[in-house]
Amino acid sequence: MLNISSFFIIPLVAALLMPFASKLHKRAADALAVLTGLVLVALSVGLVMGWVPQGDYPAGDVNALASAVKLHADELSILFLLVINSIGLACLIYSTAYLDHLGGRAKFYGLFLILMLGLNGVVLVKDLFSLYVYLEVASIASYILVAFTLQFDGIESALKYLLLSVAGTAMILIGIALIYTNVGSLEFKNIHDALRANIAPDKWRLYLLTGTLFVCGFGLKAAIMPFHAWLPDAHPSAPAPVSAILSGVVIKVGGVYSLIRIFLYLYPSTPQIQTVFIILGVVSMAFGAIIAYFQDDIKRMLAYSSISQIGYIMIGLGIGHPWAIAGALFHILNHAQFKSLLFLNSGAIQYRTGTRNMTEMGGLENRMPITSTTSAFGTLSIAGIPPFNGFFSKLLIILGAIKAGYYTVATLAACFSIFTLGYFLIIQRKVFFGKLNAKWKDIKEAPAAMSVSVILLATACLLTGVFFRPIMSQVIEPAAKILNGGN
Amino acid sequence: MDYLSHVMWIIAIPLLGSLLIPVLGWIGGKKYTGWLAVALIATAHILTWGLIHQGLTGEPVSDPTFITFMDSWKGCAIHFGLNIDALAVFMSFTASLIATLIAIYSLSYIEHEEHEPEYYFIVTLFVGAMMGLVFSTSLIFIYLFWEISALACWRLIGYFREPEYIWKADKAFLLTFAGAVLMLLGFGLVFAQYGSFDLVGPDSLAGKPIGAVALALIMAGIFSKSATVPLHTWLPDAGVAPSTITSLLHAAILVKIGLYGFARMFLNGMVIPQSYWVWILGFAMASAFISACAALMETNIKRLLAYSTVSQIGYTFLGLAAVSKWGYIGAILYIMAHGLAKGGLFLCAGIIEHGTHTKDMTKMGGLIKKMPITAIVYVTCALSIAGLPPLAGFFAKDFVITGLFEGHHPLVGTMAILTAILTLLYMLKSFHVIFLGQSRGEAHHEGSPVMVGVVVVLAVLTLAAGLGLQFPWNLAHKANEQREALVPKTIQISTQP
Repeated sequence: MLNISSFFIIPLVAALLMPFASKLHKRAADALAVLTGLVLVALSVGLVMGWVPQGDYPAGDVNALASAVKLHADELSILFLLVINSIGLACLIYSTAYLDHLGGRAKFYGLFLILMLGLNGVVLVKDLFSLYVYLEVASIASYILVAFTLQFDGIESALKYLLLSVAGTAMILIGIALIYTNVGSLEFKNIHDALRANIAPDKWRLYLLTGTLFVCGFGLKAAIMPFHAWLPDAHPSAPAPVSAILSGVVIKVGGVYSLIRIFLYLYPSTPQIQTVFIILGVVSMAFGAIIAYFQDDIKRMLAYSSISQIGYIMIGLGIGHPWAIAGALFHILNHAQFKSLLFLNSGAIQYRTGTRNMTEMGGLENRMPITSTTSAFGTLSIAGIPPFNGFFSKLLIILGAIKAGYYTVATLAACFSIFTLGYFLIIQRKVFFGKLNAKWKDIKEAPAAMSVSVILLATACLLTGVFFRPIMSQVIEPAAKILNGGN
Repeated sequence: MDYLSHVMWIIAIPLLGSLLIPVLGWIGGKKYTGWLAVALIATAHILTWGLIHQGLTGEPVSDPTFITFMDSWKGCAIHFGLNIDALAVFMSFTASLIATLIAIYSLSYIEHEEHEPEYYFIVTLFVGAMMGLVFSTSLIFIYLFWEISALACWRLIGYFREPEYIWKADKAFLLTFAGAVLMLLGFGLVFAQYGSFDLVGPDSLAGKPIGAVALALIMAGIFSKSATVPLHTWLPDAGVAPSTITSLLHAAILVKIGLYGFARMFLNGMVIPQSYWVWILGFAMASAFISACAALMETNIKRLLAYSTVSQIGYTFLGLAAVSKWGYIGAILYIMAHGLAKGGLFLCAGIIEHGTHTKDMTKMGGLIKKMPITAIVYVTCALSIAGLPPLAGFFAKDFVITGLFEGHHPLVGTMAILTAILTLLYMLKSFHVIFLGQSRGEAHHEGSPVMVGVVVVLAVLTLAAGLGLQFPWNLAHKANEQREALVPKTIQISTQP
């Protein structure tokens, strides 16, 4: 009974039951959502431990079901499943309290679970077309979730997100069509073999054309500069748990996972694509950090910081050295943890103070000690201070860059981690330390469910750093092994 | 006796034990967090006593692969190794001794402040990071503990939450982090060249010459940490922290990390090509001299003492950079002498600040009548820093200057003597302005018995370390022998004319 199709079926069933549960009692909807999240996390951990079979689903000869979607969880999928479902669970726990002032439980949980379903689908499918379909499922759910508050800026930024994404998906679809006409199949295995079998000279044109389309299309989904314009609007105006999963997970699964799957798995690696990845990565890292420095809106700052951190991941993937690739994959896991943590914290602040403007805050640490401590954890993690998790992933990326001879890239990556610390210290200084703004003298710590969720994520940031070695050997290394240059 | 697991306890007790402190504060034992911190730090200190015999008589004990952390993972071997030699024993003993005294002093000083558990948590973590750094053999782990100390220092400098103080804490954190990241890049370059991060063991970096770029990057980290000109500006600003913390930063742990790192990496490990030594000497001399002049001009007591620290750190670097027997022994003794005396001075400053509610020396005066014990301790420690016999500082300073002449740097040696005179000048000036003459403030009172007791102990230790020089000298001498044994004779530049 336990197989990888549960990653779809469970959230789908839960989403369908949600309206009935919320009719029963609003806490019943909460319980159902959190329970679903817990089951999905348990399943992901089961995959890592080998309790749940990874194998193809449906199994055996499936010619009769030629149109059916086939699933397979390889090591790369497992890493991403772990990220999606654990962050999803934290966001669901958080939402149980956050929705108290927002309302619309059944719709929210339903859409959120469909978003998770779509993301799980993206990483589990075995062919490019299904990947596209599930990517759209996830995207449509996230457009609606961004506009969930039904306020002007939410709807505006959701439309902006939708319109830009459509341009991206059109390019992706054209790229997929071109692959199909040339290879005759869209299954990963067939593409992988066909592109390596006979290296005809005209393959180069196929690489160039589809490569450009995919980099632009998925780059837009990943919000790599210069395709990032939608992100700084969409992520801040969404409700906090949605911002957290968008920044922590959706851009990585929709964008980075697909880029990894295509360029580091399906396509043979070429120096050209590595250079493109490094250039895009450096641009995103540098400008994301510089723009973040000048933001007053706490969530906009976090959004730009996401662009910057995606840049680190792209650099790691582009360098192509095994350490850098392992570092990039590890950074995906780590960034999901600390960025979700920071977004959830900013949500807790907004929940209590009603503002996102940092200049109005100050001295909140005595009023919100849990939020303050956990954001200090997030800050130290994202800046790469040992023993928090961000240190180890950045260390591997930088060492890989040095080892592969990219000295300038290594220096830039190191220098921008100083910059990252700089602007995150601004958050700490403006929001938590300093004199208490008289307006906030009566505010209280965020509700229990929200605190539980941020404490879980903060603990994860520390423990992932301290137990860096077992996580590397159990999750990251197997995933890196199947990639080009990851071995 | 298994020394390695012994050392593991010295590191683990403060480092992991510190995590208990916020838990204790949370379950309502806020009042006892200080006692727990003192117990943890004192235990670590008492454990270092068990290493002294080994440090004095034995060969260095080391296990570069104590914990195989990333053993030969695709050619990237990161080990957590431990190394026990005379230098490490000396450093851990001195740092934990001073830290224990400061923690005891805090019991009285930090009473009734907000965030008490946070304070003791970070202080204990800080000591744990220092112990870890002292015994580590891998550059990556040196960096790791280095950064833990930076983050501890960030929270401690910003302990009082005035906006301006927070800013200064952020400045200190950013500056030391920037230096450390550059240092990490330098480690990366060394690794790219030699394929190892280990300072001892089979693929050790010992005796390997390093390139100019890597050296410059690593020195940026060391200079930013130990507040050497031109990367010193965060240290005088860090005076906004509670006096106990400035004392801890200056005397026991933080700035000493840079010195220790330099001694560990370059005098007992990698080799700096001969032509670069002159740069290090130049920076150290400039640092010692310029900040002595700055100290002469200061009227804020804590800033004066901070500039004095920058100057003394420069002095210690001079001793190390002389690469000679007396210079090295002098530098090691200097770490101890300066730690004891500067610790005492800052704690005295804390007593004065509690009594007068100001840091401005021009508003003090005549305090000797109200605070006789503090005055005596202050003058003892100040004279030790200025280098008056028979206090510990005299011997250290004398050895450093001897070492400079021994290493054929007569010009630098002369400058060092000049700096020593300046030091005497500003130290006597500060004593005169604070304690002698007419009283310019309201009623003052002596510090609490605990606080005064601790500073008296530090003054007595300063005197005892001078009179009973034999004990620290033996360890320092042994450390020098081990250094000479490690580095091939051909690279002992100072022995050649």
